[in-house]
Amino acid sequence: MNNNITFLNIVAEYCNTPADEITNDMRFIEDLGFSSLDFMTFLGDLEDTFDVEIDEDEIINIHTIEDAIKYLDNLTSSSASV
Amino acid sequence: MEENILEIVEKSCRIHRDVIAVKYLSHREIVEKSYGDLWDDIRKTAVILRNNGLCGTHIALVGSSSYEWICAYMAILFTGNTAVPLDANLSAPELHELLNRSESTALFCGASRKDVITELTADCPRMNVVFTMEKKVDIEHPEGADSNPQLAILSFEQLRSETTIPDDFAFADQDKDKMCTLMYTSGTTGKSKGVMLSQFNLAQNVENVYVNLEPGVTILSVLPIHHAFCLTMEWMKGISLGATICINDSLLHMLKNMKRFQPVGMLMVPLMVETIYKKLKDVNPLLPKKLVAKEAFGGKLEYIFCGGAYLDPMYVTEFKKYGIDILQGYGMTECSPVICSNNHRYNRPGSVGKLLDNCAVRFVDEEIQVKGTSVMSGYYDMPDETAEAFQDGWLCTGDLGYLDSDGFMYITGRKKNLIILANGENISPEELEGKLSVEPLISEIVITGDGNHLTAHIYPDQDFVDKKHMDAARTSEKLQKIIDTFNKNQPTYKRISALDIRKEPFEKSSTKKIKRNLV
Repeated sequence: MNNNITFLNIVAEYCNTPADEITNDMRFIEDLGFSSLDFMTFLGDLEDTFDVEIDEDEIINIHTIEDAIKYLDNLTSSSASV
Repeated sequence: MEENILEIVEKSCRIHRDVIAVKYLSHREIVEKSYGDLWDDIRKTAVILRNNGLCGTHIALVGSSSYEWICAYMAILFTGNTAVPLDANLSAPELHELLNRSESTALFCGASRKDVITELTADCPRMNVVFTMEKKVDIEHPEGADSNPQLAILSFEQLRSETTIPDDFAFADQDKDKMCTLMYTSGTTGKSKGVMLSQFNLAQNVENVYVNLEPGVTILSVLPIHHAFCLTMEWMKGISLGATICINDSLLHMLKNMKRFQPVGMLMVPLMVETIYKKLKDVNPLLPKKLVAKEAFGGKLEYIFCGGAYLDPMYVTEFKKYGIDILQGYGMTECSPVICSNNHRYNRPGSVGKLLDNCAVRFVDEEIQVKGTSVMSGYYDMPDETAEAFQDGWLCTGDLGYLDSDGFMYITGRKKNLIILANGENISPEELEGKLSVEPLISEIVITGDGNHLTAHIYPDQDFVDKKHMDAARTSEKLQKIIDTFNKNQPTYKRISALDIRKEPFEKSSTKKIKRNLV
């Protein structure tokens, strides 16, 4: 993803892990120490930064960095195709 | 001093008729409702309730914060009914159970919870009317509701647009001591309890909390409206002051809405303060604090009332640097909810402030026990639990604490087993343990809370493991699967995020109860 660095920098704002040490298999809550509200606020940041709208019903399926990247990729590619 | 909620709301709507009472987002546009609009819409809703024969009954509300929700809530109270605000994050079966237990005969249901209406007839035969709180509503009976011709499913929005207020309309005299709100709270027994509150209880809480704000001051509402802290202190107190209450549409957008609505005051649970602080500390320290505050909070935020869980005093000191006072308080739903609070006149970090004038406390073995005009009359249809909650007429809070020589209260711990997460949510571990212990692979289970996370400590059923020839890895995988499935049906705050598989059974007392304090 072209926006990978921006994405990881946003993740790093919420945890003690530097952006360059965050790997795709890391889980937001268990590995990175996000609280449930951190996670929601983080998704709000993604909306602003990447100009997408996140469906709150879909959030439950996002556990890892990879899940979030895939979800975001889908959103950005579908909004680009409109 | 006003003695009931109707007097408080009516007086404020009259005095602040042209002040904006509520702002909210609809299709990305900000909608504004004045105190005049609010009063008219409350009265219209009351007419709708009367037209549907709803008087002296229990009416539930399921939905996120909205203008419609608060109009419905007030109208329910003022027409002599009892409001039952329920957590919109609960599953449909859990809500059905509470609808039955509260003996609700009508329901205001938010847009996102149409699933609650499905199977309503089968699960809640007492239910007669559902008002859907959304603009474009499919009024057709959902699956499962067809069999009950008595169940009317009506669009609240449509009814409101078609209803006029008769010239001779007036609310009947309010019985200030009658139960007006039934609020469900978690309990140690594993079954949530319905706290019975009267208009007098609530009005006394509103009137005794000191807040020095001018009419028209902007408040951003980010807490769930079914919580007593939000309902009493944000909505009722806000309305009494003539404040403009802006509704946060989603926790996803809390920070964005702080910039958009530029609030002067907010109510938060500690988790929110912690999240905002994480964002602040990443900002370049060389930037002027005033500029950072404007960027992060909209630039006008002066105070945050914080309650629901422990907050490290460090945050009070840190936020002060940005010109923001964090005022910590303490309370419980059973007390409508505030018992003590810091305020604009005095604020001592680390303490939860001074007792309200209408509250008295005593300490029995360090436990805080409360008496006062905001204390509930009891738990609905639970005489044993009610008797247990009081000792010589004093409400046992289950919290441990003390007052210092200046009258500031400090909380030192929890007597109960309740898990209080940093976000203020109360979780009864027995409730979750009960649900999971039906799994044949689980022999013993204890749920503990740490910060914002729940951990399941499980001792697997050895017979089951042997019979299925499961090794450690397979057992762990299977248990994780059970937890994942369980989590899918739980609101976020009830999800279990860590699993600890024990090799030995838990240590037990002589009565074979697990010694939870050793886990």
